[in-house]
Amino acid sequence: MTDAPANRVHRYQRWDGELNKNRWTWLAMVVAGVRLALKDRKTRSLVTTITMVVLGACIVLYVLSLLELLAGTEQGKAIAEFVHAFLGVDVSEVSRIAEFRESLWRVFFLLIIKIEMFWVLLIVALVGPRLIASDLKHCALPIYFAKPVTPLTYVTSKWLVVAVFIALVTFIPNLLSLIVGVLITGGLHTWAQTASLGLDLVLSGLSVCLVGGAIVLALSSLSSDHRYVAVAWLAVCLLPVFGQTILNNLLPPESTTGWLGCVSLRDNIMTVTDWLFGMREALESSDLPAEAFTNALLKPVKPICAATVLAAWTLAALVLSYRRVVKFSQTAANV
Amino acid sequence: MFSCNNLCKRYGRVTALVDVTLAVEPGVVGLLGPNGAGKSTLISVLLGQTRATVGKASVLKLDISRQQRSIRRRVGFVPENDCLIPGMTGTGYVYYTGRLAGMSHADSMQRAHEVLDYVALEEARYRPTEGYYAGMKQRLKLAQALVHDPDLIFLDEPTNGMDPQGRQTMLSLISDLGNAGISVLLSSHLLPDVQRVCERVIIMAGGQVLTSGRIDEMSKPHPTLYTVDFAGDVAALRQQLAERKVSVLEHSNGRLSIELPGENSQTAVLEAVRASGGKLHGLHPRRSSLEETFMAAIQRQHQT
Repeated sequence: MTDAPANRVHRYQRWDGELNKNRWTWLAMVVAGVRLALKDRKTRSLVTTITMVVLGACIVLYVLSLLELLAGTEQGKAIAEFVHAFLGVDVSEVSRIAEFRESLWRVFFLLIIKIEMFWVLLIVALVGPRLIASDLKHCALPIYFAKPVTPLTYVTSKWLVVAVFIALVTFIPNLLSLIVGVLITGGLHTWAQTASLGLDLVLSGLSVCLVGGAIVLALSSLSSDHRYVAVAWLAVCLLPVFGQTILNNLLPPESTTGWLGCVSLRDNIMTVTDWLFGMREALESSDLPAEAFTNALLKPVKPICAATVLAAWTLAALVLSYRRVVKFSQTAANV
Repeated sequence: MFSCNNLCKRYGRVTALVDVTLAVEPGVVGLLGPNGAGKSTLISVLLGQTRATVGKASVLKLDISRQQRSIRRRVGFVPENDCLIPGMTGTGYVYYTGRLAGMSHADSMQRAHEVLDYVALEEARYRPTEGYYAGMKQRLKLAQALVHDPDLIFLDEPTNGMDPQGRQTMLSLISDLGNAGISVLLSSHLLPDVQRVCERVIIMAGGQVLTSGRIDEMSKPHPTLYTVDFAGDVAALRQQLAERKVSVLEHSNGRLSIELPGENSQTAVLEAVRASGGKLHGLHPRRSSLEETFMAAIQRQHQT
């Protein structure tokens, strides 16, 4: 490939089209951001592996629906006796499985969300750090701010890119699983029973998108090297968990109850998710062994405290990102 | 094209622009100045990216303090740095910048191909931009600035890092844009580039506008420096000139660069030619180059 010949005749042609009012600039930025992120093989693999979780969820829901079908039948009783005889476990309560379907599904999806938190940690570490850091590294900001793009549009679009990926590994697969579960279990009755669960799945997923996206965006605006940002993100997520574990072992349980759960980002998100799912009420109103489930699943932190901590993190992160981007936009021509 | 009225910009204690007052007519205009002269700050203020501390300015009759987005819809900007988005092809990059400017998907794609053809990147359009070399990157940046067909483009050092051939291409593109009716503000420290493509020039230093005007008017005839085109015995002419206190600075192929002893003493040359027995084909005053004007302006600023 050689350079263009110097004697080549250039004839510029004017364009007679019209520019729109930039209402959809954010969408173009999000689409471009998602496409660029998907060019990374690791990101693609991670998004693909979430289908295993969906598949696993569908299988569990299928088994539950089978149990519902078999409950009360001779075949079901025979299976219960068989299990009792060989495993020593009394599964006679399974005959009433349809009665506490919603509670069971809520517990099940809560477990799925806990698993998905690992995917969130990784996908945000892969996609998020490059969002602003890459533009800083390659001095791409003048390209944005020489066009009619505002700092707000820029920040929102970048946040939406990471939010899309969080959604791809959280509430989108969960909703798909729920729909498959409803279709398997059959009918409008199941749909009516689990409709609010769908909404809760979306809300919990959005809260993860909001918090995770905002924090990684703020970190990304602080450095032009995405590797440092990824390390900082992992540190923000994991260090409090390690600290929490150490403190739990060092301090007496009474002194740590309440505030220690607020230290970890993940625990706060899970506490808010528990609250959104109405887990405590669901467990208490069902015939499930509420105390055992409560201890295993629910954090001893008040949801309002967790929500306040998350809101503070998010607000601080968004303000930091916005201020940094405003600063960059004002010096864009001088970069 | 744009006008400024007592424009000042301060960054803390540093004053980047000092009372810049200008009214620039459409056309191809050069913005000259040493590093730290305030050229990039002026562009940033005109683009509406940086708010001026004091003063007013308008670009294409749009107020920079209130109509920044409207200005950016009608203006293109070629930054000095690479400013590429890794992972994108040439087409993808120009298409994306068209979308940022507010073009529809179809328009942006069609126009991306048009401007890539225009800047002679048609063969490299589907290659990732990371593989482009300096000249291609500069032309790609020009393409992204032109994608939405602006009425004015700001070019910040567009020939930086380019080989002579690439530089020629870039300069011919800039000339053609001027011919197509697009106003150009070419910020550069390469005086020959500015002299070649610009009609007018603004010289800045220390945040101030030192001088501005048409290049042909700036390069005034020198009062004592002349060029003599002569046919005959050069040695005899040199002797005659020396007798009349005219110094010969350079000589090649019958062309002599001379310095007269004072203004309005051209008759001494005519007498010397006659006395040497040769023929005079021409006697032209030497015009001061843009470089001399630039250096003189900088020197004046240092003195004050």
